[in-house]
Amino acid sequence: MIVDKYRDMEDPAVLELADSLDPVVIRTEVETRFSPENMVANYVAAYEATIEATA
Amino acid sequence: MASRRRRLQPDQLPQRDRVASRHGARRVGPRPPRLRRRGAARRPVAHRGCGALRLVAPRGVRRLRARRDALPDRLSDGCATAGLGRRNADPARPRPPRDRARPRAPASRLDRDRRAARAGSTGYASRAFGRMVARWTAAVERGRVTIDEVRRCRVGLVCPVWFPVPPEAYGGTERVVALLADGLVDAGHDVTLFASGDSQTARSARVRLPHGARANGSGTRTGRCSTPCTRSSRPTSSTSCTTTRGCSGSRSAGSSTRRSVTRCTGRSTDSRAGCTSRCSSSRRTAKLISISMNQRRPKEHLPWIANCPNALDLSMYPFRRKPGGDYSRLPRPHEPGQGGSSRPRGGAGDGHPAQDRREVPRAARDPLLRRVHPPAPRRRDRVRRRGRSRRQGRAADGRTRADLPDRLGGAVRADDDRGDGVRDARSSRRGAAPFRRSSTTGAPA
Repeated sequence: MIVDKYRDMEDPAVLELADSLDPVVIRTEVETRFSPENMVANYVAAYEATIEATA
Repeated sequence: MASRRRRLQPDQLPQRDRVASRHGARRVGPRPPRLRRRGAARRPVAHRGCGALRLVAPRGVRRLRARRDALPDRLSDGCATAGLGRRNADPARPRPPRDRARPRAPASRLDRDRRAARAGSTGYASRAFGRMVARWTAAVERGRVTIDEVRRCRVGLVCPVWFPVPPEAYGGTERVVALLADGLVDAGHDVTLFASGDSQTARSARVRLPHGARANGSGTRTGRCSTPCTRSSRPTSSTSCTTTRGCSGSRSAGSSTRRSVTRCTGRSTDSRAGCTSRCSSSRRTAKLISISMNQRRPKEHLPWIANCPNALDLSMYPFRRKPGGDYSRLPRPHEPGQGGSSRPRGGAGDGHPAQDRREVPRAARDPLLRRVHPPAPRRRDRVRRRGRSRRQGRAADGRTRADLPDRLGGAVRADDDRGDGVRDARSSRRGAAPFRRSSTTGAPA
């Protein structure tokens, strides 16, 4: 669902393709990738790596 | 002759010719007492004063050094020592093979730190950090703290002071910081939030700065963030640097027995690359965290160590479980009549927070914007000002300003009904009707 040009987003065929996407699946994917818990875990891991690298 | 108890045998000493008999303790006698400070403890009269003269070799008597010749017997030629089988000696026997090492049991980091501390070598580049690890180990062994408490970090989040955390009707850096602060507190870390004083966190993070600059309109605006870097630090001295929103900054959270990590966010617009450069060059051990891989492209040589995308508070974004329906239309950049804004515009009343904010005038929401764009003058004053300009704005050929062609046409007059040069948002959005389509036919409405 990635178009090459900005104007292609208004193409009816692309909109028809967008209709085929399941909002629940997209929502679950976003909740998994961009959840605060995931962000905090990544930051803590980065902090740990930084401390280990500078120790 | 001195007493044997004091191991003085002047008769057998080679220095007897240099030590006169009057130097003996009996002849010299006790040393007169020294002047003491007022209130100082009185020392017992040691045997220093009344003791015998301390000799060079108090535990024994050295023999006379052998008389040496001017030239030594052997001169070093830089080779192997003579007399040790230089040429005629057999080669050294090969060592018996050592036993094969057994696989080591997996040891935790605490065990490794304990062994390193006992061995005297902590294995860390910094001795201070090694000593700290030793203190942690001792504290855990004594039961003063638990391992979880040792693992707990002290995190300082430094945030721009323009908006409180979390912001009101604004989703950006401050909202991400709020999510991160609450998440770190939930994870068991000690979080200190350096933000405006009216900030509120859902958890027990502490706020350490006065009120937000934009919230009360009394703050000063600066072109860059006051703290140019974010760094995660050890308790003794902060050295690490992490950046999340471009220009970021933080300070060490102080020293303690626990580890300290700081992270802050700042403006992430044009000065992003410069701030990250300052951030990385300020400390040798600075490390950077990006929020996307595109952020690294301008400065790929910087020490990036991780990529942590920002989180979303998805409770603010309702969604429709069934596919289809209306779509929001994004205006093209610099599209005429669109204002060039990249803010998504959807149908009114669809529950999107950006749409709900439009109902409140922007100038009424933002006090700083009200200061930059003062309210329009009253209608009576505006008429008076126009009349004065018409009288004074007469051209050389006698034409008045009203007779001159209006370059701007009726666009400004139609949109700028207040006369302050600011187009009405409703009028400028006139040609940006949301792109609606029917979910059944697929044709634009």
